[in-house]
Amino acid sequence: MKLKGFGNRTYNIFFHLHTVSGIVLSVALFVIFFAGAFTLFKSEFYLWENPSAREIKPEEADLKKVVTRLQQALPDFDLNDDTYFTFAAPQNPVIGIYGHIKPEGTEGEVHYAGKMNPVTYAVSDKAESTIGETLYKLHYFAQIPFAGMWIAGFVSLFFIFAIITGVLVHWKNMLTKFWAFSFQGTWKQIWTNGHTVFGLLGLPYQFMYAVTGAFYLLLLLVLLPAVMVFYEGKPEKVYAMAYPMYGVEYNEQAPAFDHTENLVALYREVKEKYGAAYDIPAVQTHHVYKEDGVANFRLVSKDKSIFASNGYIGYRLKDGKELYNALPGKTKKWTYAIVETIMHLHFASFGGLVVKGIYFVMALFSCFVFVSGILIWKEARNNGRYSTSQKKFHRAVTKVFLAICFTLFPATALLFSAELLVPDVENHAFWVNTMFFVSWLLMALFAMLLLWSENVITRFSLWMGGFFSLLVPLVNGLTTGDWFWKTPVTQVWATDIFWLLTGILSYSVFGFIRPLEPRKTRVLRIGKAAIRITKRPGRRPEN
Amino acid sequence: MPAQTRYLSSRGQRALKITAAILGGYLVSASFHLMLGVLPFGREIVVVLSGISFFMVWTGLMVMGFLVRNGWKLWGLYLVLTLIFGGITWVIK
Repeated sequence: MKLKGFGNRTYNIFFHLHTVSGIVLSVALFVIFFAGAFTLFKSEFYLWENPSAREIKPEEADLKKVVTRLQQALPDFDLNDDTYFTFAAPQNPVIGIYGHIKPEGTEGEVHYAGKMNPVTYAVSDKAESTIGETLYKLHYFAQIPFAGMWIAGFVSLFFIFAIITGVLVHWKNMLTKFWAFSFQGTWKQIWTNGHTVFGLLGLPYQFMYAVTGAFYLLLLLVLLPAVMVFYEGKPEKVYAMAYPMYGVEYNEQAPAFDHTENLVALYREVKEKYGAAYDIPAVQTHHVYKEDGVANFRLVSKDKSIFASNGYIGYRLKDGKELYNALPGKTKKWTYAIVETIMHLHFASFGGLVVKGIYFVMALFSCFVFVSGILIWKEARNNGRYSTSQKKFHRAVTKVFLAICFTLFPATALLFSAELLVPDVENHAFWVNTMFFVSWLLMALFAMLLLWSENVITRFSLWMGGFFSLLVPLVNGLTTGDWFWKTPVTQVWATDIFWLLTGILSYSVFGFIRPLEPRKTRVLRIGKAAIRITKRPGRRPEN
Repeated sequence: MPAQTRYLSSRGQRALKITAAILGGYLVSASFHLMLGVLPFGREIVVVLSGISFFMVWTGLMVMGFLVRNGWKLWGLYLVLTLIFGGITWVIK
């Protein structure tokens, strides 16, 4: 069944919009989806990336120790400002601290993110391990100062644009092409077919990510007009619609008061009252040293049938008076549930490992859509309408784009090994990141400058990726002794096995792809050294 | 086959349409959501859902804008729509 198509002019305009937006976004989207796919399992492989945490058996947090040790270690830490403590969990056995440092007598404040050992209560703000953090930041380009998040935000926005125009281009054949896998015909036909089929199958997933990505990164642009016109320039009033603790009023002139003991008592009370039905992963405090101090507990329902399972409950510390109760299914406002739904959809935090696994595969399918898009763009221009220099340009762009995209795979695998290979020195995270980004840069440069076709770039990336993947379980076994066949920690052997299988798969695909010979003899000279890349006699090069 | 160039705009027209799509589309989407905020739907509903719908209206306007033949008229259309939505907001508020 065919849907009614558009007129010639309309169709060609949509087609052109899709081509231009797609080719511009392709590399950025590939990096975002590839890094984001691994980020989904950030907390699952935390125990793998941080061997010192594998030993910790977290006990129930003593909030009094947490507060007093924090204040001892960091005298300028401002516990009167919003402070967020996440409790240690078996999978992530450290206490997280997010707050503000305000040196005495100064105006400015600095955001603080640190960790506390749940056994020794030692505070540390240097990253002990960084794989999850590095990939998480890469997936919204946070490593680019200032501009990165905005770039990623507009990539999300124009991704919506590319998706809409893509659907419009294929409107007429949408139903017939829905499941029409095909491996016949020329390469251009195969790429086009794969692009359409995977684009359509992944449409809801990709559209969801385009919109929620824009939501997280460009929310300021959305809220700016409303905050200026409706809320007297006070963004807290909008945040209060999403999180109840922003609706609590405080008196900055409130007299001093030490609530440490009250906080401990309140935590015990909340655990007794709600501990059976809810997990309590975090508490957010404000004005711990002022009379009107408040504690907001985050509760997550253990009932698996509830989708928006998060809730908050807030108390005045002085008398334990309940300020609000926003628990799921009870008195939770639906505006909280909407913002939470966006979070669950984006971070795949609603259905356990099965959902995360599906998300991971869908992310790789999306990467295939971006790469096949680049290849269609090149193949569609490989004809008489274009001059030789234009065709050369199209080929060069394709090579550069594919080199950047494909070498991210070996670099990611190397990142895992680098984490355990770099010793536990002061700048550990810096050196791990350096190894990751420099190896990515070098492999990408090598692939785009010295390799002669997409086929060779693909085989190179698969070989390197396979090699570094197989290295991961080896490095873990050698450096920590936790070989995957004997470690009792699920997250550790699961990560090892994942990379082992990835390595085997990578080499299998490598063997499956036929090599292409270079068109002509090429000699690479660096100083006096020369590498000759010769054509084998008697064989006609393809492509 | 790439798109046929005879259906595409000249350089100047293209610049007008791209700016109208991005900036003009933003202004229309912003003023439209402000107007929804003063209409009796409940402001909270509109503001929270605008976190999603804002982007859809914005990109929808981006796509449709390119179908207009004259870039000047497109800019005019988006500015008039912004003024109408903004005016309604101003009057009711």
